[in-house]
Amino acid sequence: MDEHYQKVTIYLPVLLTLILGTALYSQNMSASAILDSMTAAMQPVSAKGKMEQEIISSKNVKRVFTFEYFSENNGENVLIRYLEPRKVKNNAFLIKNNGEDIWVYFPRTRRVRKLASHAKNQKAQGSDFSYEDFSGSENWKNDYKVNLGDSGERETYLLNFIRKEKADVSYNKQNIFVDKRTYYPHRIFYFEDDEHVKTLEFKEITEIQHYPTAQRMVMKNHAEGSQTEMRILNMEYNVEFEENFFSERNLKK
Amino acid sequence: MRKSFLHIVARWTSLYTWWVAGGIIVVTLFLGYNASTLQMRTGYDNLLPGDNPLTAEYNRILDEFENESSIILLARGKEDSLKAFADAVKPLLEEFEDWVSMVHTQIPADFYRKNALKLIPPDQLENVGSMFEDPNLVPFLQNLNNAFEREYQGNDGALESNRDELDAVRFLDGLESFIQLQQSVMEGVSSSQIGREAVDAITFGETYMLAPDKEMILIMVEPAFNMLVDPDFLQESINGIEKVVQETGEKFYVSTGLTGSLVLGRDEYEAFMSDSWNVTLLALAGIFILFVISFRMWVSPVLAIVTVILGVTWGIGFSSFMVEYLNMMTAMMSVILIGLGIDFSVHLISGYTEKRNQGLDVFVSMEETLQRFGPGIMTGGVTTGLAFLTMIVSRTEGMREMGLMAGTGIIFTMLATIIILPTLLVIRERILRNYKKKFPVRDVSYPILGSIATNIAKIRRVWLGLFLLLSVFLGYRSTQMKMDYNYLNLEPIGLESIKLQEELIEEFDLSSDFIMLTAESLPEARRLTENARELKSTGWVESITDYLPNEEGLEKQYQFLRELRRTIRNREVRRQMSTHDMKLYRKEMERLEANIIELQDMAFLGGQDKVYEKAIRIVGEAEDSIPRGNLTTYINQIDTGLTRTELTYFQQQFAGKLKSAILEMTNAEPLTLENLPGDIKNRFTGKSGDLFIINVYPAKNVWEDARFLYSFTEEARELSSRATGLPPIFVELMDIMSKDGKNATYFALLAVFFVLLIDFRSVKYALAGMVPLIFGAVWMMGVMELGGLMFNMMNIMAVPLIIGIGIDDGVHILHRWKIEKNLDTVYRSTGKAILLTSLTTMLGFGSLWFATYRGLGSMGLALFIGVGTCFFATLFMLPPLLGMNKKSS
Repeated sequence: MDEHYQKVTIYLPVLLTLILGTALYSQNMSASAILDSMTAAMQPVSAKGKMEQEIISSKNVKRVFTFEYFSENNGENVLIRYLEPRKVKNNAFLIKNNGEDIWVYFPRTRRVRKLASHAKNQKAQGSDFSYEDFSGSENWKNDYKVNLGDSGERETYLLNFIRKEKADVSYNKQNIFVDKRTYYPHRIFYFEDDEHVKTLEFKEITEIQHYPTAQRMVMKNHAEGSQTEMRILNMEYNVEFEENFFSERNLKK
Repeated sequence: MRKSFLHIVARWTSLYTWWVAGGIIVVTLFLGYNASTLQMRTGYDNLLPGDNPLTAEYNRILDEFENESSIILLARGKEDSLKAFADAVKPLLEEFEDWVSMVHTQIPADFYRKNALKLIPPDQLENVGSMFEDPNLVPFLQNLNNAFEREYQGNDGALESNRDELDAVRFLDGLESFIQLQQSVMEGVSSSQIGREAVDAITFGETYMLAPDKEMILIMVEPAFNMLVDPDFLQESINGIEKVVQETGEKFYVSTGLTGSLVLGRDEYEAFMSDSWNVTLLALAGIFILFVISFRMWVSPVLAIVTVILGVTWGIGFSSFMVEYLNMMTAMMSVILIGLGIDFSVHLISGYTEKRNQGLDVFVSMEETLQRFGPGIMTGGVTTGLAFLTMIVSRTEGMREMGLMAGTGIIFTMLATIIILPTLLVIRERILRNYKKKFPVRDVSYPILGSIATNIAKIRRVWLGLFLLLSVFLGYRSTQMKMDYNYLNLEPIGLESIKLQEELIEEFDLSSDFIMLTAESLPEARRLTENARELKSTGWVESITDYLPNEEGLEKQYQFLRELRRTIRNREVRRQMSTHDMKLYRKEMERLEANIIELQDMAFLGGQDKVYEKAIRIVGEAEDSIPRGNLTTYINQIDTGLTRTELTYFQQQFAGKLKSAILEMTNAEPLTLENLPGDIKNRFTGKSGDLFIINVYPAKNVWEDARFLYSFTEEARELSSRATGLPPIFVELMDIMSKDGKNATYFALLAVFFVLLIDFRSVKYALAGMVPLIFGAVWMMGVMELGGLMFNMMNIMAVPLIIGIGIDDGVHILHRWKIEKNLDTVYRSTGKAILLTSLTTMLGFGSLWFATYRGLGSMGLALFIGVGTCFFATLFMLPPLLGMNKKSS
């Protein structure tokens, strides 16, 4: 009896370690699997469309811009060309390598300028999105550790992203609430120094070419009391672009 | 004891009328004199607890820096007129030494001419400094463009903060002047000042504090007094300054206005002074008319009004022994006491008239009235007074003084009414020789109230159910009440000082409502300044360290200055411009135009409207069919062949002055606190010499968004626990007041319950007395929420106040019920009295709605609603309970 008891006491911690380890491992697997499904669902390989951006500043001033949007390699490279208002018509931004390199084209001077590398973490054109927010899904995988949390909701998973050491990203934490059925995100919480600074909400989700697509995305900046809404006017996925479409030279076209 | 006292009053007023009248006159003169010595003090800092760290720090700043903020003078007009006005008004104002200590119309140009390069932060030294490596026009333009492109191009975040935006506007402003000067030379203007003006323009820009469109000027008038001065002196000095400013403005065809906390303080004081008379007269007139209509007589209402005036004089006179000043909350004490105090007169006149109409003589009527109504009046007065006095547990000075004054005031007004009104009534009877006369019997009660109460009691379950449902609904709505954190919503409508505050934020990104941080050493001041600039909610920060280079970078800086000095000394000022120079000149001017256009486009996308608008003056905008920017027009005018002479003249004037300016700026004299100009040093350094002030301005109007107000305050407090100023004081005040309001309400409820317990000697009656009060208070908040009202710093006091006020109706009904045990009799007689008292009180408080200071109006409206709901709760909620009580007994 005593011997049996001794065996149990020896084996029990080992068993517990194994069970817990497997559980933790499976949880990590599951988080990365959800992340893969989510990035596959929300980011088609390439896209082309027209969007409207409405910025409501902290001083309650509203500004609306319309622009063409092009992206390739799951959002690694993005080109934005303004259509309206006339004051900035044909001004264009080329964001390459997940926001590492940014060029701007000014049609009035016909010059292309490269923005400083730290611009990645700054506000994109006065909106509440930073260039980093436009960057593709690879950032989530490369710059953050991901684990699965409890969303407290029946219909969503919660993915917690913790910044990896030495990763050059401004948010130290991100929480993404992912739909269990479509793997499309409902909302993202952004944290800087553990302070919840922004919330991105995905609204009016419909399918375009079998990809769930939020017709409206609202970024609320809690620190500044401003918000930016992006509305899709039209969108097409898996588009073939000419070679060098995402180049500085093409910015001028 | 109460009965004996009332018996003595009845006896003395009837038998020794003139002696009592003499005594009343003596007491009134004594207390009236004391009441007249009370002065008014505006400002929210006076409402906080005296030992509050924010107030202590605020007072320390007042003591060390003599004033907490400048008077801000804004003038609108043409640029030249504005500058001439500024030059003229400065000496005129500085003549009034009792009012004005200094007037700042321009930035200290001489200081910048000597030290501008020393003030460039070490990380920008290389870029900005490189602009000045060659004083000749063409190389200067090349260096300027290089620096421009490094600073603004390739840097989307260069305009991200408010300060960046204002710096960019200032830089563009300087460029605009620089281009204008070249244009004027091109047009044949020659002046020995042109070189210096051009150098000033590109080194530190405009010296006057002009708005980006140059149609408004900001002048800081440093007063020789602060908010703690006698309010009459405050009024006199601000009015005096305003007069000088207006008269000077008219001469220069500019419109002028003053703003800032001192000016607002003057405006509030004037509003309170005129309100206190107007609203009091309005309340008295309304009450008089109501009396005349309801009692259908003239003389008794006059006596009631005289009584309440004397009673309020006694009340405020006695209060003057306990408080030093009237504050913004107690300023309308007279109206509150009139609204409440008149109730005692209503009960006495109502009872006395009823008794006289029952055919009783004066003495018997008075004795009967005082014995029958006196206990109710005394209980009501004491309960209300005690409920108010519970507010002395509040931490806020304003609320505590309010409780003290209202509590003692109402008890004194009650005592005064019991003594004065019977005396006046008897005097009237004596004068009219009615003393022994008996009137024919007449029913003056309100039978309708009796039948309402009886019918409710008959089907009490249905009515109780209905009213409970209503209470649940209104109770739920009351939980939805929001707080209004915008103190400007309390101020009078259309105040010029408030309108100008908005213009100040709009045009200059400055607010007169800023946060002050203090530092006890320069390194601490520098740390606080740098950290304050990093805050998300911060717009502009000014500090003494803006004028003193950081010691850490001094070595690098002096090395740079030495090198620059050596370089510039060896540079030769060219006497001629070659054809090649002319071509290069044009090319660099075009490059400058392109740089500004790109900055303008980035500013438009980024929402930096001031930069965009400023750039329009230089390069126009994309939609222009005809070029309208001064640089674009100028470039089109440059004819490299024909304009060489003019440009050579400009080169000679400019390059020589720039060289000597740089040599002056690269002097080796260290810039220390000791050799700072007096006006800069005194502005930021306390009397003791080792206390420094840092002013932190919000990024936007703090009053438009409560969340922003809180985050601005919170961030500043995290930076320094000593952060003070109107925004943190207001937030602290609101926080303390909402806690105080709750505590005072609970204490008032307890106090009221205990007084009722002692008065009725029955738990059942005490609880019954609380019913209309509690339901009335809940209904009040529910109705307020349904009416779209929000709690603010003033009307939040209505909740504890209504506990004291609303109890009266129930007390009178219960007292009468104990005697009559008949709902019809109780409600038709005492019901009439409580209806009238409620109406008079509502009139009193309602008249506050007409106060120009809207905070008082909001409190008046809340109390108006509260008194009404308490009356309805007494009429609808008590009869079912009393009906049950009768049945069970």
